Amino acid sequence: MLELFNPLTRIFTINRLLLVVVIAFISMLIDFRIMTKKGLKRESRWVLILNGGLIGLSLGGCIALLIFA
Amino acid sequence: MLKDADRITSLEMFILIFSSMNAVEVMIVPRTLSESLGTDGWIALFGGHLIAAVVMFFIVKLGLLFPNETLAEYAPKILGRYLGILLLMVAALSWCLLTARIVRQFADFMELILPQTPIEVIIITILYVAARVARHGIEPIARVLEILFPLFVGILGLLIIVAAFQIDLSNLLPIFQASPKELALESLKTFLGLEGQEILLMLLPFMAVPKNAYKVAYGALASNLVLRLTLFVVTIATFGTDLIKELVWPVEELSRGFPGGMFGRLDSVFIALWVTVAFTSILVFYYLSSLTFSRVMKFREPSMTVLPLLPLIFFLTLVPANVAASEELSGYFSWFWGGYTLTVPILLLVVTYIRGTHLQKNQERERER
Repeated sequence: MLELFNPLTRIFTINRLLLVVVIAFISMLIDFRIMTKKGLKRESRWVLILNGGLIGLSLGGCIALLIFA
Repeated sequence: MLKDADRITSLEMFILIFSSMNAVEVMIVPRTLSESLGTDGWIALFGGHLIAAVVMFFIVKLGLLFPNETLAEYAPKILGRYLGILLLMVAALSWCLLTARIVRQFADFMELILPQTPIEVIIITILYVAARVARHGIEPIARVLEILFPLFVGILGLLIIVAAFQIDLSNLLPIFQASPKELALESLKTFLGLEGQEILLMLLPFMAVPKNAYKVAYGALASNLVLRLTLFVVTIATFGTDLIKELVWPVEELSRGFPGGMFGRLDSVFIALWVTVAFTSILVFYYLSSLTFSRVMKFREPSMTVLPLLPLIFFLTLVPANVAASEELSGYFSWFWGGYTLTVPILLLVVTYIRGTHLQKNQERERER
């Protein structure tokens, strides 16, 4: 299993994924505040979707790495 | 400089095109050309820039048919929604890849002087600074580039002057040894390495006077040719074609020969140049990818796609295992992106003339009046 994902485990390490979680969280806070302030409802929804998706994927990746690697 | 108008002057556009074309290639172009053509490399520079001039004509012509619209608006109108969006997504992803490529080359170089700093730190630092600027739109980017441009030209000028003390013009001989086939292939490769010429597809509507686009584009291209030609001649005349093939960063080696050891080695000057060049190009391509994504998604606030792209570029940057893999992947990408730049503007122009899309637009405008 680990060999199959070997090239991926070289790129996606737990440290890097956690770094992405932090960046996505900060950008979500900044952008959501700005979009709601400007009254852009559609955009603020997309901020949550994009950054939330990133956080979810990164945390999922971390869990997968903890289990398989 | 125009204040708070979301418009940039012709000079700023010139600097934008010139800076983005000189991403990393300018540092390695003497080596790549001498590897394949030896002392005849300068002919390929002329050939490559000639092809770029033709492509640039189509890009500007297309942009001037839709003066208030970017590629993201007119491509779906010309080719239909699905094909248009597909082309746009390819362009946006390619700009992401281009950003990642430059960041990686920058980080690989910085690792030589900061060996104990993790590569992630170098990558995130430069990407985050670029993201902060890119969030504020085209005006601050143009201003940043306007400030860094004299530094870039000044440092390169200093390196060339330093090298002038040690050149041996006999190293430039013999000439006209390469076959026409080799010259044609290398000219094409030189054209493919000129990433940045396509930025007018997205940025032409931001020009305060779009009519000047031809002048600006050809001015940038001509200046780029002069710069690369000078660097090629100086590095070949200094090191000769045999030695230059062994140097990873031949332009950097120029900084090691100041006469009389007055300043010792000028490596730090070169690093300043490197940071400037890499940062300006990263900034432009990062902004272009985020702008394209936001226009495709029809966001009213283009800045919101900047930060979510950061992790994507970050991981793309980490894909190559080492410098050699990075150069190999970068070669494949140049072919792909060069092919896109060569074909897409011409395709769009032909289709818009056949379908009369630009005339419909003009008629709509007249009706509105």
